[in-house]
Amino acid sequence: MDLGILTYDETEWATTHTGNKVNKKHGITGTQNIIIAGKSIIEKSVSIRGGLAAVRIGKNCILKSGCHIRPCFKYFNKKPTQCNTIIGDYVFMEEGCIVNASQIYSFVHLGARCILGNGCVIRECSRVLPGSVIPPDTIFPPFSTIGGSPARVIGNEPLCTENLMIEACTMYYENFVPKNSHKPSLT
Amino acid sequence: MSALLQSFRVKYECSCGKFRNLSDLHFCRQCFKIKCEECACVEIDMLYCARCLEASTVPEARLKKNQCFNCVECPMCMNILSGRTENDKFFLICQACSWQTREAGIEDRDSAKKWPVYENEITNEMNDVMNHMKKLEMIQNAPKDSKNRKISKGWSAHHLPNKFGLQSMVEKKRQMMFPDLTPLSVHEPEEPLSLEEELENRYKSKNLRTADQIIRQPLASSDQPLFPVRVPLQGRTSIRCDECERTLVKRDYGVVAYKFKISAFAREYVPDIRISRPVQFENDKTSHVLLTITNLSSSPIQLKISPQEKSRDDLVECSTPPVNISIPCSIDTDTAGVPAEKSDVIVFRQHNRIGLNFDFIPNQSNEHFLALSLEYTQNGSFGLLADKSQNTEEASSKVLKANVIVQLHN
Amino acid sequence: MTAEPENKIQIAESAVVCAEAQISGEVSIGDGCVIHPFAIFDAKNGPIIIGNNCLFEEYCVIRNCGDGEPMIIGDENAFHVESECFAKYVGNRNLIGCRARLDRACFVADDCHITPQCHVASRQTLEQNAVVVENGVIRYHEGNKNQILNGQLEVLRNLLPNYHHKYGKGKKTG
Repeated sequence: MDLGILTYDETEWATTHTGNKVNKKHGITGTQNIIIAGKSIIEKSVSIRGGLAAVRIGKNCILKSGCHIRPCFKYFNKKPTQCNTIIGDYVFMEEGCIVNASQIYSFVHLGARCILGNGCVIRECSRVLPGSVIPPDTIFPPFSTIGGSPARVIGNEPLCTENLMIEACTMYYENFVPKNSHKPSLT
Repeated sequence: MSALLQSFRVKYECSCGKFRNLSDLHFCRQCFKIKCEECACVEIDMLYCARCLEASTVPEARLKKNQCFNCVECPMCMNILSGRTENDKFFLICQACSWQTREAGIEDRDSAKKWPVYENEITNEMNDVMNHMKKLEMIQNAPKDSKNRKISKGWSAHHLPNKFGLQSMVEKKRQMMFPDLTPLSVHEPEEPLSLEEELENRYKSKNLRTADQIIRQPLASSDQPLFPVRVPLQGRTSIRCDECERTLVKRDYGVVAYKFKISAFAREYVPDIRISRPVQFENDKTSHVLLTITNLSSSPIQLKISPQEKSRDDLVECSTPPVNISIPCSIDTDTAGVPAEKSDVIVFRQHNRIGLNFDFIPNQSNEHFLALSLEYTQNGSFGLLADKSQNTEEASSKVLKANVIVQLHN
Repeated sequence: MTAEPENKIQIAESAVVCAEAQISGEVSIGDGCVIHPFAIFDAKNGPIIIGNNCLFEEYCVIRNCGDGEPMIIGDENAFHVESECFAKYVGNRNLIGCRARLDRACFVADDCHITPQCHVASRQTLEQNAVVVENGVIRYHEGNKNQILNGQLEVLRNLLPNYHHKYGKGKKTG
């Protein structure tokens, strides 16, 4: 199904010059360490802990309400450090995801209320099923469907996921319009 | 992402007759047919460990018995085990369920590899029997082999003195042809445990094991602790058309490559139909469904869509006449060439997308499927020969067909 | 959060409590604790007493649901994101995973590990070394709890004051 038009109240949202649309009721702290590439949508109650470590988010990402992005904690040569979090392009995070992951590559779709453990790595074009719990320090290959608790690879994603994600995320961003703008009802 | 776009609601017919999502289908550019993973040939391209993402070739994997050397999984929850050190020795711990190798009685080791695995008791006997059989096979085949060799009339090396080591060489060869046989003891058949004895043994142990845990470690009897399980290697596939033997999908080199050397996804050669809005059903009255058709290919398409006859109970009766439309491709910048048609069926036109309105009468049952058939022609760039710029006119006249079933109900 | 007249909050000097945390009622926080922003401590029904070197991540809810009796949390516990604790007593060195819930009046002994999204039922007692796994199964693990927490707390105590004001002093961000 086509993604429908979603309207938002302009007073509640701020738009940056790179095209990011950020809800004013967010929980983002440490903004000087956070880089968001462009054309991303960050809904309300999303908390990104830039104070702990640098967070880099790619373009056309969509973080729905209630997501928490926290840089992971690792021991490098017996020295404890908070590591940087890198999230790729065209990543769609549904409501309530808790992301303690160290890296999420591009074209990944995280289902609602999933929990990514400390330091896990999710490679390209994967999908995490809603409600799954990924244990710390796990790596997942590209094109994997990840589910369960503790999560495992339970299937394969279609090979054209890259194109699908680009299409869906761009469509979502283009259909996310302020209430008063004149967008034709069918696009 | 197919879940987000609900692409499971529109299914295309593959050349084997099954209906699948468009994202799961491939298009053969030589025979112009839609292929799915079940009817095309699937070949293993590379073997890799799903946990540590280390690749291995097929002969390497055979040496490793198709298991990863580095990775072991927790017997309780099938999660990967992480290593910890204490006093310069390693032990493994599961971060999901806190199982440790110490619980299985395995002592901490110096290196993190080669954790113990239960061995089959009769493995040695099996190996002896296999070697014995191989020797028997050699003896059986010896006269055939010597027949194949050229019969050297004249002298043979038996009579020569052992000056140049020839005698021992000949002896060795003779030994290989006719090996000595040591008699093997016969393996006596054993009575299997009866069901009552099995169940008794199982319930004696404190912790009951789940069926999954037992299946992954069949060699551990119920009073032995569960050991870590070696991770099996997984294969990465490439897909080939079964009729013309052309590769449809081949991934780039590397375990973590997500790009393709060769890719022929059906989305890029078949128009993509999607339901635009949730369908409102009005009982026994004509209801409407708005479908969007997107041309994701590299050539403009002349398309004819016709609803099909109601041949099954769950198909709905559609009263819209067949429509002929042309959809430009996404790369074309001059869309002004497309006439603005006014028709009841065409609702909107945007770039490489068209919205069509279909009228149908809902069924009595809860299931409503709309069957459509597509016939379309392209400018010749779909065929493989187009890459070598030959014969585009022939290819462009070929009419490509696709059958689609759209699920209208939720 | 404006201080209400009934608040009796005692925070040890070495503890780092972010200003955005919501603390109400009679709460006493021990040495070296780290409390991330948006953590909720609700001691309206009874006091909450927290030991040393505990970690409370954001959006975790520690609420005393009882009738005046104190809720005691021991040393070196880690409460991860969005976890909820309505327990009566929590021992030492426990790890409560993300979105886990300890229901009312339950007792949790030392060295337990509650995996994410699991529940400990109301009035349940968890013995030492228990592991609560996804479908409610309780396993007992052997081996001492890894004291990794100390390194993490040290790093957080140095890092958090750079981006957050301390509780009770100065205005909050966000």
